[in-house]
Amino acid sequence: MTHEERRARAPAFIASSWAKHEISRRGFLAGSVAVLTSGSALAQGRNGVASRLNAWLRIAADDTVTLTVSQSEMGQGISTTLPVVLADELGADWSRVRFESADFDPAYRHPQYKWMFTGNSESVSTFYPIMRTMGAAARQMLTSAAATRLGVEETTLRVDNGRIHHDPSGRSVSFGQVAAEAAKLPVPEALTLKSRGALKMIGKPQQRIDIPSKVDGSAVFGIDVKVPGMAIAAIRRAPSQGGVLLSYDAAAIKAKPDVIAVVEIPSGLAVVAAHYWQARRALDGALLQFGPGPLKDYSTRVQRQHYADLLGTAPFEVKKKTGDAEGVLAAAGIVREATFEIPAQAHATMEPMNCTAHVTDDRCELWIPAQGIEMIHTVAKQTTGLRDDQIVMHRTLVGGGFGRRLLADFARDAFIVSRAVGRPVKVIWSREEDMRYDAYRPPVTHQIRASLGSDGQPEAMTHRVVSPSHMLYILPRPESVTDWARPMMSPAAYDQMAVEGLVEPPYSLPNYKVEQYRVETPLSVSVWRTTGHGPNNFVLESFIDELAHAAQQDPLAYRLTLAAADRRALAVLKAVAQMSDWTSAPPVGRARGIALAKAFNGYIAQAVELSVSNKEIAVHDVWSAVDVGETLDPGIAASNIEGGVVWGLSGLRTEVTFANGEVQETNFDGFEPVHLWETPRIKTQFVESGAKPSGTGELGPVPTHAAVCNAIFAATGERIRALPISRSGYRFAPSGIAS
Amino acid sequence: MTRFKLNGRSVTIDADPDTPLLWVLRDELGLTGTKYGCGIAACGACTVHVEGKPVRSCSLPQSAAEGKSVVTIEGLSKDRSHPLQRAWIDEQVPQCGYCQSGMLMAAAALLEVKPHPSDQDIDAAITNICRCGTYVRIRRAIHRAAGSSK
Repeated sequence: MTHEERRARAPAFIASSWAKHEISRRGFLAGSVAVLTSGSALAQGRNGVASRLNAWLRIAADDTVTLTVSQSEMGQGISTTLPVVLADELGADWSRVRFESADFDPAYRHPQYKWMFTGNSESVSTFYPIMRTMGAAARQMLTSAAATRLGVEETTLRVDNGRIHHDPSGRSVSFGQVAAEAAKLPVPEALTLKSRGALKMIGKPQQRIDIPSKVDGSAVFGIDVKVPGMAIAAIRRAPSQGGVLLSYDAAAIKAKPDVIAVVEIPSGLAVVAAHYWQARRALDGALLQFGPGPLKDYSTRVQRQHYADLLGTAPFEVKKKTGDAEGVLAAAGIVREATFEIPAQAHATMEPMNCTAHVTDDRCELWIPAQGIEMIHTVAKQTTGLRDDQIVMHRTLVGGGFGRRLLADFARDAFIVSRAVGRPVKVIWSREEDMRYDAYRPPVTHQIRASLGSDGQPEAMTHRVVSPSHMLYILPRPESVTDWARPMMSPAAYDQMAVEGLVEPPYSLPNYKVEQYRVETPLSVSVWRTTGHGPNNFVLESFIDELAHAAQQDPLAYRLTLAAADRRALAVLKAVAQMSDWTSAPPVGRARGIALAKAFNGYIAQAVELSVSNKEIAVHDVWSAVDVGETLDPGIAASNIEGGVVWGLSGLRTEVTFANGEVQETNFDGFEPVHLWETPRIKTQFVESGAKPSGTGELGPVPTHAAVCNAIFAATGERIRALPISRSGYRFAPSGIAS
Repeated sequence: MTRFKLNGRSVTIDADPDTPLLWVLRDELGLTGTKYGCGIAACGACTVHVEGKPVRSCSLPQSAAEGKSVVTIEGLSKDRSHPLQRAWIDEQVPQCGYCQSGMLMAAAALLEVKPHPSDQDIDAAITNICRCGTYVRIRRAIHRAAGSSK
């Protein structure tokens, strides 16, 4: 059955309370489902035929409720958070809930983008209302079936813990007893969602379903997949991305024992063997010769100069204009100006890119740790020429995503190699391949100017951004387009990330202008945890701090005045002030910094306390006050913020640089995320504004660069306007904390 | 041929002597809990115990294990009952989880020599990289396990 046919057969309904989301109700069993986690407690129950009530759940006669997890679990806890929402709204017995991950299906698309993926911290904001809707619809269908079975009015029934109770008679039926009849009922047109008080799990910390398998080695990541008849491939490509393979000693490789095949792939070579090290060893001795590609003489040194030149010469596009910033600046006595440089970054997921594929004439089966499910499905079709129903995707746990696994390049190579050797092949990238063939967070250069009014607040501000598009490669596009770098829309339509956080600041700026020049780059670039918000917040919040000091005002008080019209911003600022005891002087030898961010539909204010000695920075404490509307799971959300702070600290040290078109940092020796001994105490508090729930995956690190650098200024009087901090001679010292 | 004890059982390996122990564990012996992260002993995702000491198995030739006792995450306990595994669950430590086998093995080796480690001891012993940034909870879980194993 094609997806079109499936959709035609699946009645759609519009939930009354969340009218914008049209959800297909699938009356079919998913063709292929992968058990999300291993471990007996989490495995799918063998419960015979189950009745599917909608695309997200089915219920078996033994009362097992199986929930579909459409979003990729990469550590953010989404495979727990969303099922909890559905189960809570449904009234399920959590101990009888099982989980399975979805293959590609249009039913699981992001309703706005019409594209199935996990990213941009959108899983909660997008799927929370859908989970509530699906749970409520199923509950009402079960209730209706129970009313018929018991011969009573629906309104006399109460659902709790997997059973439908008729309190007046003391009778009850279980979900499993009425699931088959419920599945035959029409989907309710009007839905009543539970009140907050009637929900038992949402808002409380839950044990994550994936964690037990992650403490005993049983969790299956992509790199751990085993398929009967499988071989393993190691690959090596031109050190300059996109370069060409000129020559190699094929005979020498094949002369090695254990080598099964040698397959050319774009820019390089795959060697296939039974075991990874056999393939790797053969590749290491293969005398590969490469020629340059599109990056040829690309260098970070030249890129920085180029971007700096563009600040004064490029035709900038106006992205935001309020009042007459330039007129006010021209008439101002003192204009403050600063230029910021932010480097390219690698994702460096702990699990290097890998994919297992088995491609035959009529089937493409793949096992993959992925975020970009629909893109991978599309590339599978493009690469193999097969149809939708011939592509079977098994999703594994994801050993770190951070945006990298939205792309499909690492799947494509596995399709090519498997088809060539006619058996299942797992292609594993070495760390060096992973670093050289990343799609990097692009380097960006900003220039910001402002003048202050008599009250010390900014009266005018202009902000110029020189940035490539973050989104060129991840945009949804039809199968007919095989050139994934071809823009599908006008730049203004898709390229909002370069100025996000700047065009909608939490501050009242009466004369304000934001401009971007979308610079073309030969570098492969894409989204990286924090997207445009990270670099943009570093610039804005560093500069706001400069202005506060220029006005001789306290940085917190300055922000409270500037954000006076934004209730949510004020709340997180006040909360973090209390957490950090901001109004009391820090201990002798220590200094504090603060930053505010409005990003990913949420707010975060962060304060940092550190000390600096001989240019060595010991970060002692980081406090975050976070407003993500309603916090669905405070435990998981705090974990995301804590990890996000570490991500933000790491980004102050790491960078990817190029010389002669080649990445200079190819492993964790040159690209060094922070370690445990450099990690401060991290405290997180949630401030509930009552806004719609939003994601925590990327919010934590957004203000960290500025909060730390503002504290460095407070400690030393030195402003850091170019990252990483090593460019100003700084490095991290042990945090020296005692917990 | 290399013979060593793996999680209490004798194993015999017929592979190139230079093959890193990591890939022997993963591909020859099928124990995939030990992870590949960097191949240069920098990240620690491949940490196992050799004679009770934490070793980065990506950089140890398998022949060096001859006659020794090797313990992997699969051998830390049979049923997630090691105090560290329990603490890891109680503190909800893992995020993506890829580095956590190595973290647990590094922490287990620490508790063997320092049953009640200080924060400085933890700083010195846990040199593995976690890209998700779970360090705060790792520190807390080690203290919790040390308390419970008193």
